[in-house]
Amino acid sequence: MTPVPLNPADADELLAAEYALGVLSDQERARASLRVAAEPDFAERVTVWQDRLAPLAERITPVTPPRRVKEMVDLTLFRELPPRLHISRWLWRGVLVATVSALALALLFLLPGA
Amino acid sequence: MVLRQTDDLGRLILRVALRDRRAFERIYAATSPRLFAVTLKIARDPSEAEDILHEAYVRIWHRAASYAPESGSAMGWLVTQTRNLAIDIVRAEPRAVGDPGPTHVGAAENGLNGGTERELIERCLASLDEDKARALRDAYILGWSYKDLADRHRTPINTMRTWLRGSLVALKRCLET
Repeated sequence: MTPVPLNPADADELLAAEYALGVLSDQERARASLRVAAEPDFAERVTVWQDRLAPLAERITPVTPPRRVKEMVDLTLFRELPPRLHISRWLWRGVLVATVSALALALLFLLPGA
Repeated sequence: MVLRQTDDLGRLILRVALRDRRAFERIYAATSPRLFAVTLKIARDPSEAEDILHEAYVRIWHRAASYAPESGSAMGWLVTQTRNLAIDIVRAEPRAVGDPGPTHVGAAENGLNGGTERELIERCLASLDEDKARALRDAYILGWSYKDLADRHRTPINTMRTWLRGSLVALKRCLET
């Protein structure tokens, strides 16, 4: 195949496609991502290519991630611990259950005529 | 939960931009198996794929405001965020010499619900030479660079570049007609 000389617009179009596809070397990729940040026209070309190529991912068979991934996300974003680590909540519930049981027992024995 | 309309997903992303946590939960439930599949293909091992997925959703939460419904599909945006992150992380790692890396994308591998966009791109890929279509697919799904592709297809890197550029031009022409 003979390489055809490119005009600048064609060259940008190809670079946008290569960047969206992810085939560039580290150095080229870093340079292209600076252009994405600085040049709206170039960024738009990249977005169009990303959208054009994205249906290729539908080919991959989905895999449900382990629950710990979501727990990590919640921890990072919302400072929320996974339910099994809510020790204080369980402790509190235990105390509540014990108190109610003790009261019920006490009532049973103390009721007149029991 | 199934989100049938891509519009639904787009609306949810817009709500996440307004810090709607319930919308974020729904996006996670609806899309994490698809995005995990994306990171599993690009990452070196499943535990790295989990780390990347975790970071991808953190990024999705923070960047939701940059999602523009008019400039593409919502799923495409989510896949792109995840894929870019995965490629950046994997490329930043030192590569083991002789690492065979992931295998080619199986031809028989099929995702669920083949939408019209997917049918269209598959039809366009089918019009390319088989080797060229495979190189493009490997680049996208496995996150391979020109260098990786050249090594694995045993082709000089400049030949690979010429090949792939030709395929990209042909793909664009095909998708636009």
